[in-house]
Amino acid sequence: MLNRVKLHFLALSVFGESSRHLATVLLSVLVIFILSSVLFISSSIKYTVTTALENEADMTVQRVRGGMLAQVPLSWEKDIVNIRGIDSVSPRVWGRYFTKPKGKSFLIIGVDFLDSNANKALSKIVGSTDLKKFLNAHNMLVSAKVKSWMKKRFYTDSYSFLSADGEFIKMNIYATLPKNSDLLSNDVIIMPIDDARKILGIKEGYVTDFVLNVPNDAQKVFIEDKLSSLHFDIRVVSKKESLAAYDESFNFRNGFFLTLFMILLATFSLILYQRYTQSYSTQKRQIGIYRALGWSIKDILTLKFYEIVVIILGSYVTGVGLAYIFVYIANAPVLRDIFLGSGNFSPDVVLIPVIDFSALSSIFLLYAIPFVASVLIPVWKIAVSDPKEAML
Amino acid sequence: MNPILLNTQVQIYLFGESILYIFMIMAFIISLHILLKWDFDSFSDEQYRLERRSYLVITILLFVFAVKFMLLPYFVFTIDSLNTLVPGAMCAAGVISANSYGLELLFVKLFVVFILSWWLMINYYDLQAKNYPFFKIKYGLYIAVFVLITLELWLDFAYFGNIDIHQPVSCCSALFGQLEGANPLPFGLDTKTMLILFYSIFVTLAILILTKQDITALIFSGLFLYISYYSVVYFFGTYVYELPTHKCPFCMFQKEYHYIGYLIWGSLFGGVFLTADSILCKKVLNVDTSKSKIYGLLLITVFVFTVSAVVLIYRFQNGTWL
Amino acid sequence: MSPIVEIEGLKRFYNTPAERVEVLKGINLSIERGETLILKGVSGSGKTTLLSIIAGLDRPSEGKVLVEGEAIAKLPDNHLSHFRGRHIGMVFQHYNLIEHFSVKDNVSVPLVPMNLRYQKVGQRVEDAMKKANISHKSDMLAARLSGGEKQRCTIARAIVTNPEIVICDEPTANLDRENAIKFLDILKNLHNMGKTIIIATHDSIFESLNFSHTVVYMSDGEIEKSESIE
Repeated sequence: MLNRVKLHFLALSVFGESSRHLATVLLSVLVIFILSSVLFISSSIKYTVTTALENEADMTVQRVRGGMLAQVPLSWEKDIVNIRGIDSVSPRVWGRYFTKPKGKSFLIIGVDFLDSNANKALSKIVGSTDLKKFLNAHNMLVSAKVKSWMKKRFYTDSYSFLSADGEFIKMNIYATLPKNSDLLSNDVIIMPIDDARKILGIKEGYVTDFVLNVPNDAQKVFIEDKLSSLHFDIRVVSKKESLAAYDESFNFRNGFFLTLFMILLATFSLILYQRYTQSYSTQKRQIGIYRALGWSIKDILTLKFYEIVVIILGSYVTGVGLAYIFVYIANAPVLRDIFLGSGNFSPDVVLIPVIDFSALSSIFLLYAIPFVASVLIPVWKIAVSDPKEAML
Repeated sequence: MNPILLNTQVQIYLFGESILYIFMIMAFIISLHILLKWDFDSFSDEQYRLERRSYLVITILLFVFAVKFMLLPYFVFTIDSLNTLVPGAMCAAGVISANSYGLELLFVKLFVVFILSWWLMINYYDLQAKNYPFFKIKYGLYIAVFVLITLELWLDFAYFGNIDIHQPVSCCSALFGQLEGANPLPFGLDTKTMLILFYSIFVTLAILILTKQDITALIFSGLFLYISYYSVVYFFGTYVYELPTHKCPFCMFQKEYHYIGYLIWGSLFGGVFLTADSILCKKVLNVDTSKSKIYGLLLITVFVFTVSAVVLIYRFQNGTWL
Repeated sequence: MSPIVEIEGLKRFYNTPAERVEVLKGINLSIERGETLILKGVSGSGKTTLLSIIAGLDRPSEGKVLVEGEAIAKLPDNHLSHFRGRHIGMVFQHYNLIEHFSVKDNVSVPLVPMNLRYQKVGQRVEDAMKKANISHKSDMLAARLSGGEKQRCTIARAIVTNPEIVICDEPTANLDRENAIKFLDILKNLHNMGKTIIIATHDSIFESLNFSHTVVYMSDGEIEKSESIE
């Protein structure tokens, strides 16, 4: 296949004629860079969301009335616990609070500090916060984004919420939630369950929903069926469904990018095709000389093949490397906003390096196939150059 | 739009397949031309032009083969990753059974790779001779390949376009598990007999290849593929998953199992294909292919060693059989 | 021993839409092993086309061409190319060096498809450069050589595969008199090595060739006469 003599000639034709390849390589690196940046950002976000969801409960039980979510009576808890195979059922009180009818919104989560399950989860988040002290007054924990939003509006240490009954409830900002990479918590406010009830208008004896776990994977479908038949207005959402919903939304964004990228790719292919077709006239003679000196069409094609492989792999590694630096070290300025949106408290996310086989192989295929496809015919034309060229 | 078709990997996969198909059409037209106009004894410019064009067909088919070769694992990988979108699916097994096209597509795919590799082998021997002796077989076979690839492309779109993400599918445990005590193995075999068969067919096959009993070796390589499939799914696979009830040909492609499925299935199909290609070339073209037959046998041996090693490593680490 | 080149009824024509242009109109020629043959004729007489066909660079339209007993007209490309590489050394009128390669790399071009070991290639290249008296410039880029040096580099490239036949197309056309005379010395060396040499030229300097050779006169696609000179 490739002995040292041929390697030497490969090096001559790749590096000896680097001016011929320079533009191609630069263009390729740019294309790969854009493509991999987009895919890196999206797989990183996807990873963050998925891991966040992994930590969520397996199923959520809601109540639907007239097609809208309704408050769930606490009395359902008994029915749910009675089903075998269900583990750790906990009621949740949460909801959205809009600062103005069309303004920003917070996600208010009420925490029952007597519930040990919830406590454990919370102590993970708040860490050092002294819970007892926190509970003694109308205190809340807010995310860093929410805090800075409030500060801009001169609510430096408390905020007055307009409750569902039309009363103002003043909550003290007790502490800031630790800044982590969790995308889902950028607009979160955590407060004691009673205050949350008042602000969100959830009656005593009712909750927003229940979450529960099913330890045995094989039973999930079965338990979902059983839960669904408990009440006529019950709705069960499984973790898998929410994962699928997120997946779908990412696919949509990726699909959008891919469509844009296809246009870029088509341009890239056309330029490549043209470059290689033009290089025919300059290479015709050299290849003719090779042919006259005993190189067969196959020998030329082999040389050209390796030449292309070197260019493809070289640009691939460079492009992906640059994208890695751009996304995970420089944190993808500009591009990130397109993905995360800057609407409601755009999350201040640090992109976690996720290098998966999926993104890498996708990038490679999406770049290498059109590359080879656009140069294949020009290269064949060069390879069959007439050895008579050498006599002219 | 069907959300499956919006999946990045599905789009890239279909995009790749479509580009290949455009080249296949080009190669098809040139092949027809060659079949109709070829006259090796002629001194005409037309004939020399055809000889140069035949290199374009070869280049295209090498390109197609290389990309198909890469797209095969990518395809498996893609449908595996779709399991989050399809309710009920835990791995590729569920996704591929999401509609009736899935399995057909997989079979056609494997067959295309097999025929394409055979074509490349015929081409190799055609170029070695001084008068293109096999051009008729070569280009005739290409027409068949083209028909197959047309079918494959249609199945590609039919399959991905018809995955209903609201229709729950079964997961692999339901597809391959022993439901109601029924024995899923062929010919009423039990696991022990199956394993004896597996190893004895392998040894027989090796002997047949080494002693050049071509036709029998061909039959045995088919038999070996068949018995290997069942052995991997119902025995060796359970050691990969370290769970006696987990029976699935696809889960082993996942990261949790270090992607070992690619090695296992790759070496099995690669080895059997190479062996069968060599024997077919020997019989049809009457050329010496003993070297590539040995390579095929080597790949099959890699397969047998890999699956055996999985079991032995488990035995060694846990001190017990499953 | 059979002749190394045997040509019978060789015709070469090009079909243009308007007419058929005949460049070679039925050539019969046979060249013995070790013979030196000089093709003479004005430009357009078909010398270059005849050389191209013998070298397997061009295909005949009709007739039989045997080189080393091989019917090269109908060889598939890969066989023809390798045949050319092994049996024929070419010295072109315009040298045809790859300008951005060093002398050494230029000389090794014909050896690349032969799958030889690296050391062996180096040795053969070294050898050929010594014979052609160009070793001292082995690492210089071809573009920076003088005319005579380029010629010697081309000769080194032509003999690096140790071919039986060396074909030269107008080898002295771009040389000054001094270098042309040096070239004749090299030819003599090749002749003494037992090579079959075929030269197309209209340079009168070959009349001073001091070893036995055959002169073939061509005009208008046909062989007019041939004479042996002792």
